[in-house]
Amino acid sequence: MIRLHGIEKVYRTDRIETVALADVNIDVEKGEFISIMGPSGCGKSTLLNLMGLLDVPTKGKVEINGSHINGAGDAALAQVRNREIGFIFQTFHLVSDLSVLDNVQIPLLYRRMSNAERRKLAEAALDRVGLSARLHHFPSQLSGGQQQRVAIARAVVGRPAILLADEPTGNLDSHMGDEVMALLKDLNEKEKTTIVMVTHDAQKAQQTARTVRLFDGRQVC
Amino acid sequence: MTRHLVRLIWNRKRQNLLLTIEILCSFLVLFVVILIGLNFSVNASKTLGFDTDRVWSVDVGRPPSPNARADEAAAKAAEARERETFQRLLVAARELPQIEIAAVAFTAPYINASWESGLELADGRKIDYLYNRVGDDFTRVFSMPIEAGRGFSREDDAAAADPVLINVELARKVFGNANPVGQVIPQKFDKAQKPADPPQRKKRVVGVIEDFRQHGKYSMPQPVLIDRLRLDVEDGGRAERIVIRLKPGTTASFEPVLVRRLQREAADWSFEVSTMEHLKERKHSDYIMPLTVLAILAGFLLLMVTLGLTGVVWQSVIQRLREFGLRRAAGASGRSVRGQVMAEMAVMTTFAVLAGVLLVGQLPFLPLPEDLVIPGGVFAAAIALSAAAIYCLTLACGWYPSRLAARMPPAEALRYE
Amino acid sequence: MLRHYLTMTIAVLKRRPFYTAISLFGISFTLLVLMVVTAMADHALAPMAPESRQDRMLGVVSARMFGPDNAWSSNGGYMLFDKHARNLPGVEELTIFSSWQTVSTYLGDQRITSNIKRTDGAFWRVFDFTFLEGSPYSQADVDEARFVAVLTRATREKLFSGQPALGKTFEADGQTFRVVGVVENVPDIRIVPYADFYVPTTTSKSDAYKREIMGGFIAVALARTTDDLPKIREEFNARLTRITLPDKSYTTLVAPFETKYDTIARESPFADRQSPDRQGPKLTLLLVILALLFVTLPTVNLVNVNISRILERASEIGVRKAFGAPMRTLVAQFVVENVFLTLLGGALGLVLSAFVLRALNQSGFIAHSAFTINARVFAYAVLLAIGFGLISGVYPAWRMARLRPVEALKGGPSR
Repeated sequence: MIRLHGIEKVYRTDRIETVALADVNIDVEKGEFISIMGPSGCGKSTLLNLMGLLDVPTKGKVEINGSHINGAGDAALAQVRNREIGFIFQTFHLVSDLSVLDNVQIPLLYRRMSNAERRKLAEAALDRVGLSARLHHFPSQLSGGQQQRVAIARAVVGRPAILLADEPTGNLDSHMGDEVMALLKDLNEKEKTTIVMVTHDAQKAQQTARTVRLFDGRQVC
Repeated sequence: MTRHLVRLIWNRKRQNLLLTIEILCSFLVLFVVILIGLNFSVNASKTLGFDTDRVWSVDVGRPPSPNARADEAAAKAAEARERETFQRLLVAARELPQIEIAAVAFTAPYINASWESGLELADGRKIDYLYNRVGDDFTRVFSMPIEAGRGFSREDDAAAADPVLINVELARKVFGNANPVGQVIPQKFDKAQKPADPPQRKKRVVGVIEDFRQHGKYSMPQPVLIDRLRLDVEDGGRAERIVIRLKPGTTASFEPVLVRRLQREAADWSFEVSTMEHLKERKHSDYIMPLTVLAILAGFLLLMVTLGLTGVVWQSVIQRLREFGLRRAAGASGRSVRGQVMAEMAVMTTFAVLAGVLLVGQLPFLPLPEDLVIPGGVFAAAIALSAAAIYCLTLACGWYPSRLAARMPPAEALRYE
Repeated sequence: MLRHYLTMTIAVLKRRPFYTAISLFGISFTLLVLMVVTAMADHALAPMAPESRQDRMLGVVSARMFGPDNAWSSNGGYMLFDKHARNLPGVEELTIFSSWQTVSTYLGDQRITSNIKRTDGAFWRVFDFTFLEGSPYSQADVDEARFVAVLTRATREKLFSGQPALGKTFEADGQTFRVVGVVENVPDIRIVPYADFYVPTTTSKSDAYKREIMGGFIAVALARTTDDLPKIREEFNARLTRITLPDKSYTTLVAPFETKYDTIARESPFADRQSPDRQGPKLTLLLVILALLFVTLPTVNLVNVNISRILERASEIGVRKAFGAPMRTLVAQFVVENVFLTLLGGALGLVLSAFVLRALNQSGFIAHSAFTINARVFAYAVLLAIGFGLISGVYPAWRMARLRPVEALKGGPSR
């Protein structure tokens, strides 16, 4: 599903060159639920960004669902991000001035469909995460766990094949964190969604099928 | 997408309020300038009704006559002497070889003194019109096109009713499509008359002129009614000036010659000669100058607004970089994000323009004097033009910030602090 | 402490040159327009030669005689003042002179048009003209109907090519005059004393003017003290009610003695010309409304820009607050910045208005105008700048004070 070959990512400023990733090779099969672990600053988020086409590698090849991504134009990348990938962030990144329903519809805005269809899909996604009662609330009126669930609904509303989660439980207490993990596992089992989760919590990582470890930008073990 | 943006902007209405007010004020400023300018150009395209080429106006100043109340006989005698002097002046002017045609009048094109009057028709309608009183040949001095009938002449000496000239607009208002020549204006006369009032006489249309836009091409067209001025009878009207058309080739050096000739007929009267060219320039300047000053002020104000709004939108985009990063992650292309910023500006402008149109839409309902009423077509065109211009302005303000929103790679945008 | 604020201000403004530039542009332009208008108004209305004693002067410029069906507006007639305005209580001098009259002088082929005023002897005692040559004509000259004239410098230029004109003669409107004095130019915005040359009233071509109630004359009374001004007004208005009007169709005559500002107000829209009461307050209201309307757009613009500036520094404010800075100092910092910017913009506006005024003077747009920025105008300018700065700074400062630290750190208020 996702193939990264010989990935290198270097950040250059005027005076400093930072190597964020070096010689990373990862294959994620369809339907897998894997986690990426490592200490802070080891490049986990950078790796996820590259998988999610939010950034381009300095060297190496990225393949999503069989198609090479290197050198693709902005419009093509956007299309892939829209149809194949769903993103979940540690800090939720909900738009505070939009209702829950409007937030969830965001990915669908960049696809051609009628307003009625969008609404239906959004309502279905919110139902899936158990938030049907809060369609018209605003993010500030929800708890952390609820906000993350809205973010998950937004990530899956377009039925993407891949879900990328960057420390999804990092801002939540253990109870809510468990809820979110249960939801992710459910999505993986029922809809066969490929999930890549970045985490620093070993306990959460153990609940996934496979763990990739990073240290200082390189794969270990 | 539009509905989404409208909801987004509506939810942010408190932050957006000041911005919308600023756009509204800019719209109003633009509207005023465009309305006046458009009105002038529309007026300028309409017919003037006269030609002032080679025409001069001689303002005649005479010592005031004794008051009728104090000594009626002396007053009448002085008046008769005045009329007789005026006749001699007219004859003297006509004799001069440089003068083609001469006539007397109360007022003339581009002269500031104007007389507005009105009458009530038998069917109850009230008509306001521009008034003038001119001698025979006036229409020839100014080459005024006569649509129907003829100008004043000696034929009118014996007429029972007062001969009048009206313009096409007045003819249409009073007589509709019927031919007004020879007809009496269906005027309602005051039954209750005071003994001191002059007898009310009927007005019979002798000719229909194209128009007589005394205040020039930028003035609003209005109905015109002209009475005949006679120097040979009492109550024939008071002449204030002699208008003359010169033979081709006459230069300004003729002016002192003319004045000295007139001064010989009336030593204690004063004469001031003005060329129509000069009067026309001054009159046009009366209209154009204030508009120019207004336009310059408006131009600077709008420049200030453009700069300010660009800065404000820029800042707002920076505030929202994380939101834009998110949208990119959800599949929005760079172009789509740029489009969103521009579309948001457009939606906000629409709110402001709607409010502005609501405000200015009240104007036609205000009680305004007749000559300030602007025709509906011009009003609507001004609204449309101002709205279009304001959209251009706000979209220009949003253009550069929108590129900023799209330029930043999504990963950076999401992490932006 | 103030020095600290100022150094911070300069650093902040230098850091964001774009914001600084657009704020300065908006402020200086607005203040430029306001200052030019103020300078013009000052030039038209403030006491200056030849009306230095303006504070003690009242004049009758417009007269209106009306009845139920008729109204007649013009200047007052000579007889109205000669018979009824003399010996008013508290009057030191009364002058009666004609308003606007244009005459032509032909020098060979060239025509020179001049505005003339026909005055009495008291004219020269009420107004303080600066004489470059000779002296004014006396009341005796007027009584004897001598054909003498006082020219302005510009007229001397036109008629005699600027050579000394004392004793020379010239012709105007068929009459010949001998020059007895030359005075400094009067700006034509000072409409009351303005003319190109002055001659005695008695040189009019006919003496019919002496018998008119309504005509083309202006009366100006110079009071002994400013306390006498209301007495002059009241007494003259009382006398007017006792005059028999020449025509039965007229019932009332309104021709009040008033200050120059009130005279102008009487000619403005919305004035009630049939009332002898002061029309000044109405004009003031109209002008204030117009000024507010003009200032609205720049103020809203500046408020928006200021809010933007604050939001941009929201996280900096949040950090300062987190480290214990009291709200007061943060607001004070912002206020100092705003006032600094406004004063800077005001100074820029002042410099620009000097240029604009000079251009206006040179263009002859208003003849012989000498718009300047004197101490009075400068004081108004400073007041305007401070007022403008306060109004456009209050709301943004209030917004800033309401920012909670956690919001500020996140970059702005959340819902």
